[in-house]
Amino acid sequence: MIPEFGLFALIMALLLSMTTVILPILTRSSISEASQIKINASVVLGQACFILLSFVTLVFCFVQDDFSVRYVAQNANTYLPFMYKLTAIWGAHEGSLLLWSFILALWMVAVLFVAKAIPGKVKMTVLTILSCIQTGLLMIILKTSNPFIRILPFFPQDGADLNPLLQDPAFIMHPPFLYLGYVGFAVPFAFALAECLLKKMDYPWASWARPFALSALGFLTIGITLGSWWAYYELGWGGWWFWDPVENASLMPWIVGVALIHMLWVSAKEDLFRTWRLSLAIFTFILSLMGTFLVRSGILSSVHAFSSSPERGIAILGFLSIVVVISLGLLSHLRGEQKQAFVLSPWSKASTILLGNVLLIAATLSILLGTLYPIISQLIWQKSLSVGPPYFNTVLLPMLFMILILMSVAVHLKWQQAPDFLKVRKYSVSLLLACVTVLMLINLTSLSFVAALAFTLALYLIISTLMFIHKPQKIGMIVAHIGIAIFVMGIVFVSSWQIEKEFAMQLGQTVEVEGFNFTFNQLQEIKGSNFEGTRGTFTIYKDNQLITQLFPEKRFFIAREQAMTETAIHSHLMRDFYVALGEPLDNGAWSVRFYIKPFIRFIWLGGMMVALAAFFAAIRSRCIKEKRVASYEIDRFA
Amino acid sequence: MSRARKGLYLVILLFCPLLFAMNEIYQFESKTQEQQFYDLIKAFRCVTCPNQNIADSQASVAKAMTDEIYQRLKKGESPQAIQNFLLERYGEYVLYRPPLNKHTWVLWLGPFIIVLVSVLIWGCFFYRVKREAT
Amino acid sequence: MKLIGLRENSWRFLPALILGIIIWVLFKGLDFKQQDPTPQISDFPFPEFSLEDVRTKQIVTLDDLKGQLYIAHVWASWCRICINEHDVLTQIKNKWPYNLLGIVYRDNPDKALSILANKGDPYEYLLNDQAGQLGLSLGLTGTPETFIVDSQGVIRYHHLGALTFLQFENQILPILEQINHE
Repeated sequence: MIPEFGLFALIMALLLSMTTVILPILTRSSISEASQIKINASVVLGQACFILLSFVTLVFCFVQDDFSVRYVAQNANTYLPFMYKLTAIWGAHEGSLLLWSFILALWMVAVLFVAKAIPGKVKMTVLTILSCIQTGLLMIILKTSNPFIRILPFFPQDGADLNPLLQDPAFIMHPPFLYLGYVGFAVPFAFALAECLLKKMDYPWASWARPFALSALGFLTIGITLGSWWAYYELGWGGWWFWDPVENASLMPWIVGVALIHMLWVSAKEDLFRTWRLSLAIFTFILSLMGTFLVRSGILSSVHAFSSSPERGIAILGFLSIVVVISLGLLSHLRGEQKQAFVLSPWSKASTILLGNVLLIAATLSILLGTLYPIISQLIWQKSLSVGPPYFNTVLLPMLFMILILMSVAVHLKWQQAPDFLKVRKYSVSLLLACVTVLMLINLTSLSFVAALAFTLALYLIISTLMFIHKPQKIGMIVAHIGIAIFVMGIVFVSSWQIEKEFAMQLGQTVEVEGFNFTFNQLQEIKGSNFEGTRGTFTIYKDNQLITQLFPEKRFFIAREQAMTETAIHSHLMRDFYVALGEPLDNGAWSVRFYIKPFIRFIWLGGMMVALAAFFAAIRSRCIKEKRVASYEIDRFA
Repeated sequence: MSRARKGLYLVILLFCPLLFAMNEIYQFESKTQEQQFYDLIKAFRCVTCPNQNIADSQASVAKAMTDEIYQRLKKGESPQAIQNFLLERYGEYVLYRPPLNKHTWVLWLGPFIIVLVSVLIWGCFFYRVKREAT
Repeated sequence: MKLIGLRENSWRFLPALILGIIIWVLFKGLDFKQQDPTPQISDFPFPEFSLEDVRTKQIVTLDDLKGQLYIAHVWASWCRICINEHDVLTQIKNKWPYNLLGIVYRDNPDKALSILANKGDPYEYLLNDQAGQLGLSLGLTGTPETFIVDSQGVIRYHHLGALTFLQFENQILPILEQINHE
C-alpha cells in the first residue's frame, strides 16, 4: 500500500507542475496579476509537498526493509546499518532521480520564500520555468525510472545490499551535495530565461540570480571535494582525481559556474556583457544536465557510472535537447534588443574577468573534448582510445597557469579603465621577483620547472590577494582565491614529493621508508554487520618515537560477494601516512602498500575554503541586494 | 637488503622529482633497466580500470602485464618491442597517453586551438568596442 | 555594411553549432552502444602456448587442440561471475557436446579444482595460466571471456564478460554451426 502511495504522490506532483506551467498561459487575461502570483505560489508549494511525501515514502520503504519494492530489493539488506538504510535511497539510478526532483522542489521553495525582494511577476516566471524542468523530470521518472515498481507476488526475503563503495559516511553525502549544486544552477538558468521572456532590461537580474548561483557553486564545490577525498581514502591507491568521465561531468558545471558567478558580480555592478552572462547561466545548467546524461546512459564506460539502460539515456538526452533548443531560441529572441554602449579598456578589471571567463570556458570545452573523444573515435574510426590523466594534465596545465596569472593581476586593475603607468612599473618588479623565485626553487629543491612555476604562481596569487585584506567587503574573493592557491600548492607538493612503496611483508617484519619505520605487528579476523574480513595492525616509528598505529582492513561483503580495501590513514596538515593491505601471498606474507603524501590535505583545505567563500558571498550579496533593491522597489513599484 | 643499497635507494628518492613506485617485489640488475621498467608500467593503461595505469592498479590483468613487462625486460627485450607486443594485442586503448597521430591530432591540438580562438574573439570584441567608441 | 554585419553576427551561431554537434555525438554514441555490436568474426590465430593441465599436470600445447573445434573459456575462482557462469557452461555442454577448453587465469589451482569438484567438470582440457601470459597473448581484459577456436587454431569469435544461455543460443551457436559446415 505504502509504495503505491508514494507513486500516487509523484503523479500528483507531476499534475501540479503541469498546472503551474499551463495556468499562466491560460489565465493571462482573465485573472489579475496579483491573484496569478498567489495561485502560482500555492501550486508550487503543493508540488513540493507531494514530492516530499514521495521521497519520505521511499525512505520509509527502505527503513521497513520492504523488499517487495524492486528498488529496495536491489539496494538494501536486512543487515545494512540503519544510517545507510536512510541514505540508500540515492544509491542507484531511480532513487537518485527522485532526489534530483526533491532538491529541485527545495530550490523552488527557496526562490519562493527566500527571495522576498523580487517582484511577484518575475518570481512567478522563474517558478514557472523551474516547473517546466520539474515536469520533464517527473515524466522521465514515471516513464523510465519509477522507484516504486514492485516485485509481486514472489518477492525476495532479503535484498542485494547497498553497493559497498557507498557504505561510507563521506561518500553517502557526496550525491546530495552534488545535486544541490547541479540543480541549484537551474535557478540562475530560470532567471536568465525569465529575463529573455520578460525583456525588462532595467531590472537587477544579476543581483537576484547571484545568491542562488553562489550557493549552488558552494554546494557543488563541497560535493566534488568530498568525492575526491573519498576516492583518496577508499579506493586504496592514493589517487584523488582520475579524470574519470563521471568526475569530469561534475567538474565542467563547476568551472562554468565559477565563470558565471564572476560575470554575475560584474553585471551586478554595471550591466556589461549581458548576452555573455545569459549564455553562461544557460550553459551551466545544460552542462549539469549533460553530466546527468553521461553518468546514467552507459555511453561512457566508467566504474562510477550507474546501471545503464539506453531507454533512460534517450529520455534524458531528449530532455536535454529540448532544454537546449528552447533556451537558445529564447536567447536569440532577446538578442535583437538594444545594443549596449560602453567604454571599456581591455586592461580593465571587467575585461580581465571576461578574459578569465573565456579561459575557463576554453578549459571546459577541452575537458569535454577529452571526455567525449573515445566515443568519437569509436564512432568514426572504430578505434578505442584511452584519454586519461596524461592528456588532461598536459592540456589543462597551461590554462591553469594563465588563469592564476589573471587572478593575481585582475584584483589590482581599475574597474573600466586602463591601469596607470606607475602600477605597471611596480608589476615589472614583482614579475622579476617571481622569475627569481622560480629559478631559486628549481636549484635549491627537487621541484621540476613546471612544479616550481606552479608554486610561484600560487604564492604570487596569495600575496597579491592578501594586499586587499583591509577591504572586508572583498572577503569572499580573498578566501576563495587563497583557497585556490593553497589547492595548487597541495598538488605541487604531493605530485613532486610523494613516496609510494610496495613490500611483501611477513608478520613482525619492519621496513624503512624515508627514515620512518613501518612494522607489521598483527593480523586478526574481523566481522561487521554485513561483512567479514581481515585487519592488520601497523606501527610507525621515527627515531624510536611512536608516531601512530594504523589498522588497514580487507573487507568481504557477504550479500554482494564483493571485496573492499579499507585503507588506514594518519593525517596531518603537512603529511599523510597511508597504508593499504594488498593480497595475501603464497608464503603467508601479505603485499602491503605504503604511501607518504606531503601536504595532501591542502587540496581539500583549498576546496573547503572556496566553498566557504561561496556561501559567505551568497549571504553577503543577499543582504546588499535586499538593501539595494529595497530602495529600488520604493522608486519603481510604489 | 644491505645498508649501502638502502642508502642508495634513499638518495634516489630524495633527489628524484618524479613520482615512482618502489616495488621491492621487482629486483633489477641495472639502473637503466629499472628506469625503463618504471617508465613502461606508467605508460600502459590498466584495461579493466577507470583511467589508471598498470603501476597504480591492483587488478589481475594489470599485474599480469606488469609481470610480463618485467620478464621481457629481464630477457633483454627493448621497451619498444614490449610496447609493440601489447599494442598488437590490445590496440591503442592500452596506451595510457593517447598517441599523436592522424586520428588524434584534433584531440591534442584542439584545446590549443580553442584557447587561441577564444582569446582572439575576446580581442576582436575590444577592437570593435574601440572602433564604435571613436 | 551588410557584409560586415553578417560577419559580425555569424560567430554567434558558434555556441549553437557546438552544442548541436555535442548532442549529435551523444545520440550517435548511445545508438552505437544500443546496437550491441557483435564482436566481428575475427581471424586471429590462437597464440602458441605450453601450459600444464590443472588435473593431469601434463603439458598441453596448441598442437593438441588442432583438428577440433573448441570453445575456450577463461575464468578464475576469485571471479564470482565466472562461478555463476559455470552452471551455464554445464548446461550448454549437456545440450550441445562441443569441446570445452578451460583456462584458469592467475589462480590457485587447488581452489579451481575444488570448484570443479563441487559443480562438475565439463572441460576437455583445463590450462593453468598462473602467470597470465596466455591471457596477455589473447588480449584479455578481464574474466570471464569466451573464445571460439576452429580446427586450424584460429579464433573466430571473442565474447567479453558473462555468457548467458540465451546469448549462447542466439549468437554463438550459429557461428559454431557455420564453422562445422566448412
